[in-house]
Amino acid sequence: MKTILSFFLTASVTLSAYSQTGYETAMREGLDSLNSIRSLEDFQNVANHFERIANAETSEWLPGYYAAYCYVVLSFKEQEAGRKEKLLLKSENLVNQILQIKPDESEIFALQGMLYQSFINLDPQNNAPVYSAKANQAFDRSIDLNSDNPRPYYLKGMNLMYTPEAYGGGMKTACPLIEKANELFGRFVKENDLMPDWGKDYNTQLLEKCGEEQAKAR
Amino acid sequence: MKISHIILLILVFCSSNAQTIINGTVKNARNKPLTGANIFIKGTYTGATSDTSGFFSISTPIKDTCILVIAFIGYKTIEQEISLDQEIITISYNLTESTSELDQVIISAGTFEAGDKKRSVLLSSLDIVTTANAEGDIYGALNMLPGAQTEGETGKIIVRGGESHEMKTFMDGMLISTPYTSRMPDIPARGRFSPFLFNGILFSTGGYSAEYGQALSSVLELNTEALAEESLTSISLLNVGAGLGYTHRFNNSSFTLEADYNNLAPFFAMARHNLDWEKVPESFSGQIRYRKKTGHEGMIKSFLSYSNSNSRLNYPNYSNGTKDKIGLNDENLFQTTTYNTKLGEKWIMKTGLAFNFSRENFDINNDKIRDKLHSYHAKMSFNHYADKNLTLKFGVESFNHQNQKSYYSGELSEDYSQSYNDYLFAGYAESDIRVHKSFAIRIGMRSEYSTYIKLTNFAPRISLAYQISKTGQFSFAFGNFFQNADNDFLLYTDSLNFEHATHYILNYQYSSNNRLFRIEAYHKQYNNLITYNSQEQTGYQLINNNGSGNADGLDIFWRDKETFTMADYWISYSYIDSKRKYRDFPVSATPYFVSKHNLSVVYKYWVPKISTQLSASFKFRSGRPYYNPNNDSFMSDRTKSFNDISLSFSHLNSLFGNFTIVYFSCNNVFGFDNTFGYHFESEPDDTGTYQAHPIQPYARRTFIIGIFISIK
Repeated sequence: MKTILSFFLTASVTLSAYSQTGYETAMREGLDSLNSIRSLEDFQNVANHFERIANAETSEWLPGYYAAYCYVVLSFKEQEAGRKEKLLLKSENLVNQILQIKPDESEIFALQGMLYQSFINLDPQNNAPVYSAKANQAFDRSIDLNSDNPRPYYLKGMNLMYTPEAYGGGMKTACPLIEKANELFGRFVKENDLMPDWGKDYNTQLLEKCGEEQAKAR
Repeated sequence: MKISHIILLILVFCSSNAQTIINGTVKNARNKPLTGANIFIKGTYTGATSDTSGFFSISTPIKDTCILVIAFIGYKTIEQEISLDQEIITISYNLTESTSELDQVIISAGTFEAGDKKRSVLLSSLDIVTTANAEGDIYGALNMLPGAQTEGETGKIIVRGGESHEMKTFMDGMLISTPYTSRMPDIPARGRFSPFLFNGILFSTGGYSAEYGQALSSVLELNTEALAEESLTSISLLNVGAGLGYTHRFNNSSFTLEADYNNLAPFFAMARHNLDWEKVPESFSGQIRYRKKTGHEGMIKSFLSYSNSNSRLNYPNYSNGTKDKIGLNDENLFQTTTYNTKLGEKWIMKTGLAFNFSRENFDINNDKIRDKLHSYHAKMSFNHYADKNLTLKFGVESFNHQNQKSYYSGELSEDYSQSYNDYLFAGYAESDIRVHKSFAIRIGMRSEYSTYIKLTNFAPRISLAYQISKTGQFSFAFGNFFQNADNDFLLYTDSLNFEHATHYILNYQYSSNNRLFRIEAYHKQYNNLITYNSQEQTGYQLINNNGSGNADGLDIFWRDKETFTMADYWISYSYIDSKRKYRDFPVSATPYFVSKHNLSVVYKYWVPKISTQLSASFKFRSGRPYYNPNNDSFMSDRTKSFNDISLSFSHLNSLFGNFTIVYFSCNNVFGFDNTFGYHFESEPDDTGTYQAHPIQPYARRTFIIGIFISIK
């Protein structure tokens, strides 16, 4: 009797450990496919994978975070405006959900800022006034919560770089932010290996552009 | 190892090895494969994504039953319990598109819908604030849409040849009896409520739902925001007044308190105007808004506003060449509370109670006119979503209007007083039927009974919409509309009939991503309009329902946000041919408020570098008819055409995290000399001619300057 009891105890301990590692394994699996993405379909695939985890693990914010991230990326590549809007609304929905789980996470606000920037592209004339203010608020909040997070600087900088100079963008305003992001990316340490860690490579490319621009100026 | 251990291990081993495989395909309603759908077992990570042929395969260790979820963006999610009793299970699914999507056929004849959606809106609340010429007034912005024109001297909206009282304004479905501010003669009124209050605006110029009655021409539905997003303090400073507001957001509710003080003294000091004020308009107003989420998707919205204004004006008297001293003090209280909730999955219940009290005290020299109005509106309606192709809406409502007008003659020291009290009961039912994905039909019926005139009306309505392609749609609407005569007449008699209008509308709409074109032809027939013989000081003589009229026209609208980067423009043109034999008209004639040709162009340009929206507008109205006692042919004179070019500038900024708008607008920048009509002297001069005095805007140009700050 005693042994059976002890077995059940160990079994249940192993099981819960298994389910914890199950979560981590599934997350790692998702992150691996995210890092080796080749096509648009893959993004949908990865989004689906993370959404399944999010559905099962209602107290974790990371699966929803990555799913929302995938949908924003999918929306960049979508040409048809109606479909584009649906993808963004889906992403917004996920962001709202994970904000309920973790209301003070710098990474979520950085993602929210990127999402709002994408809403601007949907209908610049109508959305720019409201959403550029909203995006800036989200980035400000992200920086408030963690001033070492490079992503709000990177996203702000990238957006400015692709905004024509006549509209307040251009290299001059963008590069200081890209440089700041680069410095932060350089010393950024993830809390654990599941935490977000994207944007560095592209930021480096943007930084090179800034370098070329400065060389030209001289 | 004990035997029990071995048995347990075997059990665990077996169950994890005996996998069930679920194979299947996901297709849309037309049997085309859907790529990218998410198929998974509820509560687990187990699942798959459908490939380019819609195929998926899942293997699971679970035995007996599980819930399989099939989800894809833009489609309705399916959840199905399946039993895993075989090794391989094959299933296929057809997903149907979700009904709330924008690309479905929607009934659109006569309606301009605006909302807070990110795309595909015709006019948003922000548009109103940033439309030059509108001066931040909702009705001012409607004026730039097809089918609508403003009666310049009153500031009120005329829709397709209907008088201003033929349009009714609702807040969250509840009637606002006095939607405009009180006004002095020849000075335009404004909408009582700020566009910032609303996140959805539905402007219908005809053929509207059976939910609405007592409006012959038009319905304007204003939908207020749900919960305020966050706590904040708002400050506004303008050359016409100042305001202070505070909003507190709780978890499931929000509360807003606002106070405004308006004084037009700085405005009139800056503008060149032709008014002889003894006291420029000054007003106080306050507002309380409360929102609460209740239970499962229920919402209580409560709104209370109060205002009190004062002004005194010396106004020319055209019968004796002197000036009358006119004083106006008015008080207005509006309250509405609505409660909406879901009843189960397929029913929504909406209830509401509104109350409006208005008192206008006019003092003209030694005479006094007192006008008091109490009105109540109670409503209860049910929406039933039977399935995606059939919805049903029905409800009952009651209105009570009590109006008392008294006149005191200082010269005779005598009092006259009239009043009436009407209870109006109404019931309506309406069904939206989607016969096919591209064809929808709406059939509705409304009936009303008025206790004051003791009559009942029946108003059938029908609309059809047919989508010819992803971008093009035809719509048709027909409807009967009834309305009680204006208060002015009901005060004198109860032996009147409802005024009546019949609408026929044919509409074609093209909409692509960021472009919209619509053309709408209509015919409106008026019957039972009020007629009377003459207007004496003591009231109207021989009031009857013998009038009739018609309005035929064409409205064209083009909006384009795509062609020019960062620019948005729209062009609206309306042609109208309308005649009436009503009031004291001796013959059928085009009424004084109708311009035959109406053109509006609005251009907005967003400059991100300075976060500023620039807006310019052009408005042209062909000449309006006016009555000239020197001309034997009734209403055959026309004023010259009306022209206006206006500019506005809205600068958005985030000062220390506080959202700030700096606003400037100037109407009639080029100072066109516009005339709305003429007042004629009551007696002819020595040559036998009645002298004319033009009715013109009180100022050649008007300016509004302001700053709005939100502090978190």
